[in-house]
Amino acid sequence: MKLWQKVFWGTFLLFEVLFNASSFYLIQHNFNQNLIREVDRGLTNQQLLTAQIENEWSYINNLNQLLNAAKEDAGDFLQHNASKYLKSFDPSSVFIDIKDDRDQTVFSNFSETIDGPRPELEVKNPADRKYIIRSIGRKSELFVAGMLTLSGRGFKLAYILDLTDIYADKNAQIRAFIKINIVITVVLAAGLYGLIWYLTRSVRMLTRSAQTIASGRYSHRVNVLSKDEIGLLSEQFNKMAEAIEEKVQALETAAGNRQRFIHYLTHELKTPLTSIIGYADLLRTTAFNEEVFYKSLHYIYSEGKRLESLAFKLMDLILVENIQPRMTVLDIRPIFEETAQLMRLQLEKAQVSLSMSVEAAKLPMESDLVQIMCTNLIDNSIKASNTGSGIGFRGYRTEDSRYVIEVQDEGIGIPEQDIPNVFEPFFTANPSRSQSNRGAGLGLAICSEIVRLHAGELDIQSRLNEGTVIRVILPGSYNSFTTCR
Amino acid sequence: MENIIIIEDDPAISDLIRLNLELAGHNCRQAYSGQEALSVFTDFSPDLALLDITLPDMEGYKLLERLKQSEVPVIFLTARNALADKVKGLKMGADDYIVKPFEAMELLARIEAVLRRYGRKSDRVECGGLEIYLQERTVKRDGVPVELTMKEYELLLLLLHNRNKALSREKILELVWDYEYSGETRTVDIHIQKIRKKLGWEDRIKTVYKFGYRLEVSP
Repeated sequence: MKLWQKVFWGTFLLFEVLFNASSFYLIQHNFNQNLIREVDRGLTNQQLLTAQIENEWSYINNLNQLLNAAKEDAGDFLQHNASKYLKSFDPSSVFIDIKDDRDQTVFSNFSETIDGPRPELEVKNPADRKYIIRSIGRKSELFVAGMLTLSGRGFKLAYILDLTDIYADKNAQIRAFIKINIVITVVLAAGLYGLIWYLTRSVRMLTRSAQTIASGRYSHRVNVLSKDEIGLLSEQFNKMAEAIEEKVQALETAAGNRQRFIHYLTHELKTPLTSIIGYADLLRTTAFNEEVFYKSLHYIYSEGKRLESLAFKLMDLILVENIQPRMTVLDIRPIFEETAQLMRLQLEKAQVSLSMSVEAAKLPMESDLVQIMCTNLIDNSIKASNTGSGIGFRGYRTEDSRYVIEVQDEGIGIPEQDIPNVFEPFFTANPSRSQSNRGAGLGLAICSEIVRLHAGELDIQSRLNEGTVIRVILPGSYNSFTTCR
Repeated sequence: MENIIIIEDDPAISDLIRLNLELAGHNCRQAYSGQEALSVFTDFSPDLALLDITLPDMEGYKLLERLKQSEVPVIFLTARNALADKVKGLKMGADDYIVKPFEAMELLARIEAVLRRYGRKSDRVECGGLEIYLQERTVKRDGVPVELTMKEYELLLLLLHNRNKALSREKILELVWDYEYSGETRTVDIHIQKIRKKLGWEDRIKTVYKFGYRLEVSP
């Protein structure tokens, strides 16, 4: 069962039970009060009647004694005079029934027959009065009986009051209540339904949103409608969804990068392999032809070299990615000099000049890695440079006492849209460059890893056909190393 | 002599394919980029295109659409061997798909198959004074029919398709006799002796020392 249905049925049933119970209680209570009042009235009236009859009888008896008239029989007196006492009562609802000491009816204007015993008539004491409520036919009658003593003779006077109206009232109330109850039930059901539906809409929205997000649309958000707990929950839910989205995106990016890495790697491995195997097979199976022979050997050699360089670069990358650098404070100058020495042959071959300027500084670093980084940066610059141009290789301090290693070339530059991608493994900004100049595209990926290990920053500025400046900004102090990695 | 255009950005591989195709008697042109391929296309009407998927200026798939418009059969050459790439290439209308690194023999066989499917391969092959009618499976020397057994004929075809290249005895056994064991290489030797004699190709079918045989025909 849904929440709103639970709330609906719970509220509805609870209300119905309480409402019905209290209403019935009120009706019953009201009825009982009426009944008590009527019984009290019956008792009083019976007493009044008895007193009146006794007074009048003693008055007449005295009068008769004074006048010496014949003594009247009390029974006859009652028989003749009883009806006049009833004049002050409503003749349709009040009756009296008088019986003598032998239980013979002396007077009665009560027309119905009463079946069964009459326990109310069992009164012994003149002060006693008994009452009973009886159903006779469709009527309910109150019987109040008491002793009536006339000249020592004991009569019994039963005062009979019709209570049908009270019962009818009660039934009428119950019927009215049932009608009201039906109306109230309908109105309550409709009202509750609407109210609960309205109040739980945010829960339903939240549920739908959760389903949407769970089905893979991580960018979906809950539309927070209220400021109550559900609103709060929705907000938290949105935060959670955001976190999930970020994580999923990060995972997707990582998976995409890995896929691309593998894709490029296979390409970079298979291309030289195809040549090496192909040319070897060609030499193996064809008749000797000098031109083909030297060309094939040249390709086997150069492609083998390409594979070798790829293997070394890959090893560098793996090494750098897994290394825990041991930082030592060293002078930066020897590293610059060694790099320049290492690159000299390559520079001469490409006919590119290198101008170096170093500001001496002691820096915490892993010197081998910094050297790998410098050679990679200069190697990239040589590849980008045209014959006869120059490369600037500088090291200097900044005002905030950090150290900058800068490599500047006057080469072909990097298209603006490619700059964010250059640190990705196997990315080569300009694939149409001649094959001999092409690297595997791992150099900058290695550099960015090394910079990350040194908690430094990489800044790259480039203009097409004007040149590129790459700055590695290293923090000059120890403090930052405790936080890196 | 079929015209084949090689669209491949790596010069080493491009040259390798050219050398192999020229040995097999094809006429080749090389293009190193998509643009170059399109310009070569105008004055060189190829019977078949070998197309690398990763080109510097455009994706091979794009070029495939252009090539398909002029109804040139296309064989994809690529280092990618993901199934999705293969399916994409074949769905777009490539006629075959070769994954690097490939063997020259496989490349030639696939080229042969595609050309035959397109009917670009002529029914009649002339080589070293022989006329071979592929449809009828008959061989004539100077107009006189030469009687060859089934296996001899297949052996001749294999040598022709891989002309100027040495074939190992094991490879010949595998391709002609359909089984892969090296015990019966004598069978190959016997059949080679027979067709040498029947065709008068004692000089053309060269024995390659400790390896196999090579049919030498000037390209």
